[in-house]
Amino acid sequence: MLDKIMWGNITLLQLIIAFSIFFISVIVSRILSLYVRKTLKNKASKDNMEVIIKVISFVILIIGVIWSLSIMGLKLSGLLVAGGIAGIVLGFASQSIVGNLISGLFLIVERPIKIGDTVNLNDITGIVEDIKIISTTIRTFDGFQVRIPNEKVFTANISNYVTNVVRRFEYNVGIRYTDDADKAIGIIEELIENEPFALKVPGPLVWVNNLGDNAVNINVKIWSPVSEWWGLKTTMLWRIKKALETQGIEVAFPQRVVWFGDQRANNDALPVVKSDK
Amino acid sequence: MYGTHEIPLSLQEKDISINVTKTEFGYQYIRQIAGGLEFQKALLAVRSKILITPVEPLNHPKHITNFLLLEFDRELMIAPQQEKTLYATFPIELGVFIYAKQTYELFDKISCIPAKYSLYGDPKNGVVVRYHLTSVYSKIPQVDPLHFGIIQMNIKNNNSNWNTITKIVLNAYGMKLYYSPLQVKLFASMKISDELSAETDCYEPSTEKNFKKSIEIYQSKKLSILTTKFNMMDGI
Repeated sequence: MLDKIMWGNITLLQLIIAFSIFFISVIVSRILSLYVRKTLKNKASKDNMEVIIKVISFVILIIGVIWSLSIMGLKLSGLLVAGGIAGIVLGFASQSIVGNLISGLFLIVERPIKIGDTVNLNDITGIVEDIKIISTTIRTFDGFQVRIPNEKVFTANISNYVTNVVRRFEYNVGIRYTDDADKAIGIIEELIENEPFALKVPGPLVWVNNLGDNAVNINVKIWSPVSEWWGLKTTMLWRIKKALETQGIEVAFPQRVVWFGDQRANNDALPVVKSDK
Repeated sequence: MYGTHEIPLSLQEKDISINVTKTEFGYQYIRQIAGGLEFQKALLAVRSKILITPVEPLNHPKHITNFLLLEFDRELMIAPQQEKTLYATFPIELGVFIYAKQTYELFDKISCIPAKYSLYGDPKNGVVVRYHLTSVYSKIPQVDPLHFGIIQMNIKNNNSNWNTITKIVLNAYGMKLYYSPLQVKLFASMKISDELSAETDCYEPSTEKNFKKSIEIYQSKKLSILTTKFNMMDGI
């Protein structure tokens, strides 16, 4: 019964063995993936670990497929010729898929982004969850999962927010013209000095940036470890405002001074406006 | 404050107050620094002891780096091929461990010194470091052991030129802290290669009488491949 010809010269036995080999290769690749994941859990970054696991899985699966095909009597040389012709046909039919595939390979080699990085890709900001061979998955800060084809990822302008170990943020603090800007700068600098995650080096920059219509604008630039940047940025401005107010310095709001005619008469700096009455 | 304590425990030293009481479910731990907010923890254990030792000062307000940078308050010029032993201070962090069933478990970290972080190197290739400004001494200085420890630095200039030193960066993996009721010690070496680079490491002294060795919290079997040294390549 096992000698029964199923298709061409392929017997049932060959078919069973080929399928068994393929099935075993799938199982082995899964088991090895789990083993590597467990072994490297605390020894390699998630990104490196995923690349290693994918390479191992693909190699085992390819070996399994080639072995299965050879069991069925398919010669590799024939496969290559057939593959070449099929490749041309498929190439025309699936340009975008091949483009994505090649872009995926380049992304894995060049590594402009890694799994776990916080990035902005084509105005989509979030954390890279996975870089697959065809597409990249990003989890936005609103909790959505966005799948982007690798071709788009590769040609996009990528802002990687966590490549460097530190990053800077800034505020503009407007104080009243009647307040002492030097004193305000001193208060802000002291507050930054007492904040652990506002880095000592590179140092903060606090300076009068411009004399605005309604306020003296103080620019504050602070460097922070990239892991602490967001937490610090979201709390520091309010702390600056409160620290300034406790010292009698108020944040200015838009205002317009209106002079009446009789008041102008007592002010030498302004021309007197005579009333017709 | 340092050492092993029986439960119930009530400690008050300088700004730090620690109370461990027995409760129905085990122990209740309450810690307060300088009258600030209380930190509480329920410890579900029996027949345990409390161990308080200094630990690597890289945990406050949270652990973000494995490196400690000590900046000297003055520049030190060292002659070619010269070797010198100097002393400086480093910030203390206290680790509170519970001891039960032959194992120690860290459950609280205390610091009386405000932390400050900095960057050593450039933003791309540099490392974030815990920053501490210190004076440099030729003899062991007297400091409060709950606030500062003493680091003994063996500085060697392997270069044929004079070099200026302003800082030292140390790796947490490899820091060996020794404590007595009056002092906390750390031993480090610095081998200067040129005006910009040096290799630093912490080492265990041959004998250190009347001192106990702290439990290293930055020591893992899984991380045996990690080096305990640090290569200062962006200035010394």
